[in-house]
Amino acid sequence: MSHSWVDGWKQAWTAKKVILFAWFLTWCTVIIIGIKIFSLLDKGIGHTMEMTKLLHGFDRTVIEDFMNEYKNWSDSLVCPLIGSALVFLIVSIFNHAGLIACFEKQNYSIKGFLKYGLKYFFPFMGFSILFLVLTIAIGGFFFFVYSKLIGQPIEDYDSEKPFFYSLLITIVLFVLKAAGIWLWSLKTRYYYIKGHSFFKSIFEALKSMYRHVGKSILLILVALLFFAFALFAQKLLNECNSGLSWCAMIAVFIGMMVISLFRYFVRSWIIYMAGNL
Amino acid sequence: MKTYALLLIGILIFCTNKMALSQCPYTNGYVQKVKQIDVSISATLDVKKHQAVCKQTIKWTNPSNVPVTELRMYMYLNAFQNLNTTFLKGSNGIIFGSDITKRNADEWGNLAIHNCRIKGSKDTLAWRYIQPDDGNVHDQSVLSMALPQPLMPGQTLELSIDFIAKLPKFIARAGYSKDYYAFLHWFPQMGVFEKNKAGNWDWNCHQFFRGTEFFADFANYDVELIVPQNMVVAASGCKVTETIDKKTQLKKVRYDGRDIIDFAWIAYPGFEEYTDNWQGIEIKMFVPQEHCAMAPRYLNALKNSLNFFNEKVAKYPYPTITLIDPPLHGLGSGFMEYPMLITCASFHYVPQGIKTIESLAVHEFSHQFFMAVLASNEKEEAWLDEGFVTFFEDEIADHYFGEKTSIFDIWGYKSGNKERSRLEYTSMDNIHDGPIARPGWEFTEGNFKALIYAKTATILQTLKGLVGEQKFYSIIHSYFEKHKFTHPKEADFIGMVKATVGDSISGMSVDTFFHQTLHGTAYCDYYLKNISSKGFELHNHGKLFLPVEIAVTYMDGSKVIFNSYSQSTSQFFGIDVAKEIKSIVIDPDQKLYLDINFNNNSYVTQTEHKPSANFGLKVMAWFHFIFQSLSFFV
Repeated sequence: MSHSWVDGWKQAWTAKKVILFAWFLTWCTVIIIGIKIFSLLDKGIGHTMEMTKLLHGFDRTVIEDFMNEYKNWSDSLVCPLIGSALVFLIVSIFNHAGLIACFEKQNYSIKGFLKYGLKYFFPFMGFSILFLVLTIAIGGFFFFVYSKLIGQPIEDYDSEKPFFYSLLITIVLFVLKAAGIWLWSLKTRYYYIKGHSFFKSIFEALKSMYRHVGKSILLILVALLFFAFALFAQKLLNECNSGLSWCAMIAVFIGMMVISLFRYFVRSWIIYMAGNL
Repeated sequence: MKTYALLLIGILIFCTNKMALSQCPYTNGYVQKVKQIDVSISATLDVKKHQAVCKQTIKWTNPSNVPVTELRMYMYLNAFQNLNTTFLKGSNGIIFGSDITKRNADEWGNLAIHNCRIKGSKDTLAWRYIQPDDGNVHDQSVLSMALPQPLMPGQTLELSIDFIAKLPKFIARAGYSKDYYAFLHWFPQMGVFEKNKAGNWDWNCHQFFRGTEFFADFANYDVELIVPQNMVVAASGCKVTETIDKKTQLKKVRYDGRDIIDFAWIAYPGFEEYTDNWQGIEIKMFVPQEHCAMAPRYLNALKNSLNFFNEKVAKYPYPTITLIDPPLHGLGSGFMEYPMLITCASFHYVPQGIKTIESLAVHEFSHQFFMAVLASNEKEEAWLDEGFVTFFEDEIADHYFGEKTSIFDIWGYKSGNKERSRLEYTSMDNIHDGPIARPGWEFTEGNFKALIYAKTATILQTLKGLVGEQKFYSIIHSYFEKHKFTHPKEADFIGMVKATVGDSISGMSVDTFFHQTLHGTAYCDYYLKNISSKGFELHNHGKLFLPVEIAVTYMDGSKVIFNSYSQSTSQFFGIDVAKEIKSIVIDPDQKLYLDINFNNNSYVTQTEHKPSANFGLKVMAWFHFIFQSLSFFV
C-alpha cells in the first residue's frame, strides 16, 4: 500500500506543470478581493496616521471606524466576494476535470489539461451539483438529528458537556461523511472518463468505495490531517507582524501561497489515489 | 444544680456564637459607618416546593427629622408571578430569548408575607401594594405598610415578618433550575428613606423594571440558612458557622454581612469550592465541576482587580469576596452583582484567547466599589453604577490582559475592552438616542447598554485624557473616600471633579462637559478640511465641542501644537508657509475618546500604502484558503 502512496506522490510531481497552472488559475479568481480591499482602505484612510496602526496587524478601532464612516463599504465588497467565490468553484470543477483526465490518460501537458477540462466540464458540473445536493442533504439530516437530540430547553441539561461533545462528534462525522462523498465523486469522474454513463459511473464508484472502504477511510484521514497542518501553518503566518516592510509582507504572502500550493499538490495526490483505489 | 447546668450551657452557646462571629474579620475600619438597619433572617429551603420559608426581623431607625407614618418595601420576587407585572409586561413572554408563556403555575414565583408585626404588639400590620411609577395594578413589587403610630426621628422600630419566598423557574436573575437555587432579591427589603430632589424626606422605592436593578440602604445582616445536607451554599457576607442538625439532618449555615445593601445566596450540590486570599481578603469561588478549568482564570481576574483598585482607588473594604459560576441550566442567575457576591458565566471550554471570562469577572467585581460601597441609585442614575464599572472593567482588563487583546486575541484578530466600549457607542444606529442621565426604565433594550455602559465609560476615558491619569484617579479616590457607604449622586461626582481640577478643564467648564455628555445627545467628530500651504480648517460633524490639541509636523522635523476650545463648527489655523507639511493630527494622544471617528483626525502628505497592501494580501490569502476548502465539495 505504501508503494502506491509513494507512486501517487510521484505522479503528482510528474503533473507539477498542470498542478501549478490549475493552482495559478484559482489565484486569478481572488485577486479582485485583494485589489478591492486595498483600494477601499487606501482611498478611505491611506492619507491618515491611523493607517500606520495597521502596520502592526489587525486593529479593530481603525477597521470599525472605517466601517462606520463608509457605511456602504460592504456593498462594494460583497459583490466581488460572491462573484469570486462562484468563479472559484467553477474553476475548481474545470480543474478537477482537467486533472482527473490528465491522470487517467497519463497526459500531463497544459494543452491536454485545458482540452480535458473543457471536454468534461459540463458532465462534471452535473456530478458536482448532484454530490453537493447529497452533501447538503446528508449534512442537513445530521444536524436535524443533532438538534432533535439536543434541542431541549437549556434547563433540562445538567451541563453543557453533552452539547459540546455531541456537536463536536456531529461536526467530525459530517466532515468524514463529506470527505467520503468527495472521494466517491472523484471515483465517479474516473469511471465517467473511462466511458461509463453518468449514472453507471456513480454506482460503479460506490461499489469500488465499498470494496476499498478501509483504504478510503485512511485516505480521508490523511487528507484531513494535511488540511489541519495547512490551517495551522496559515494561522502562524497570519500572526506574523508582516506589515512593517514590503519584504516581510511579500514573504508572508508567498508563504501563504506556498501553503495553498502544497494543498493543491495534496489534493492532486488524493485525486490520483482515488482513481487507483 | 440544674440551674447551674443550664446557665453553663447558655454561656457555652453564647461564647461559641461570639467566637464564631469573631472569625468574620470586619476589621479594616471601613465598615460600621452606617447603623440604620439590622436585619436577621432564618430561611429554610424546601426543595420540593422550590421555596424558602422564612422568619425575618428588621430593626429600622428613622434617619430623618420628620415622623414616618408608612414603611415601603421592595417585594421584587413578585415581579415573576405572572406576565402582567411591570418587569414582564411588554416582553411578549420572551425574556433573554426564552419563552416564558407556557409555564406551569408552580413555575412562577412570588414573595408572600403571612404575618407582620411590630415587636411588642400582637396586631398584624396592614399592608397594600402600590405602584408609584407606572400605576400598573398588577404589579406587586412595592409594598406600603401604614404604621399604627408615627415613628419619630431617631426612633427605632422592630418588625417581625413571616414570609415565603417562592422562586420562579429561571426568568431573570432569581430562580431555580433543577437543584440549583438562586435566592436573589428574595426577601421583603426596606426602601430608602432619603431627601428627594425637592429636599423633602420621602421614600425612594421604585417598582421593578426590566432595565433596572436595585437600590437599598446599608444594613447589617445576620442570616441563617437551613438547607439539605448535600447543598453547597454561597452567600453575601462571611460564613460564621456551619452545622448539621442531628434531628432534622439539615445543614445550618449562618452568615454575617455588615454594611451591605443586599443579601443574596445560592445553593447547589454540584459546586466545587475554591478558596484563596489576597492580602488577607478571602476569595471564594463556587464553580461547577465541568467549569473547573475556569477557576484559575477567575482567580487571576479577581486578584488583578483587587490589586488595581488597591493601587488606584482604595482597598477592597469587605473581608471576603465570593464568585459564583452557575451551571448551564442556572445561567439566568449569571452576570450579576450583589454585595460580597458576584455571579459570572462560563462554559466547559473557553479558549485562552477569549478573555470574556476574565472581563466579566472584573466587571462584576468592580461593582463592589460602584454599587456595593458607593451605593448610587441604579434605577435613577444607572450610569454612576454600570458606567463606572464598565470604565474600570476596561481599565483593569486592558492593563492586565493587553490594551488590544483583553477581549479576544485569536489568530491575529484581536480587540481590547476600552476600544470595545467606545465602538459600542460609536457604532450605535442612532447616536442621538437620548441622554444618559435619566431613569433606567426610560431606556430601550436596544440603547440601554450602549448608552449607560459604553458611552459613560467613553466619557470617563475622555475625562481621564483631559485631566490626566493622576488627577483622574485622584478624583475617583476622593469620590470613593468621601461617599463610601452612602448614596452618591451625579452632583457629588461632579463636585469632586471640580474640587480636584477646578471649574474648568483646558478652557471648558466642568459643568458644560457633564451637561453636554450626560444630559445631551450631541456627538463629537473632529476632522480636517481645506488643507493648504497656508493652513487648514478644523471642523466638527457633531455639536459636542471639547478642548482639542492639534499637532502640525513639518518635513524638517519641527512641530507646532495648537490648542483650541471653541463652539464653532469650523476654525481656520494658519501655518508656516515657508515650510512643507508632513502631517497634521487632531488630538494626537487620543484623549478625546468620545470622538466617534479617529480615522479622519489626521492627514499625512505621504500616503503609507503598506498597511492597505498587507491587509489586502492577507484577506485575499484567507479567502483563497476558504474557497479552496469549499471547492472540496465540488
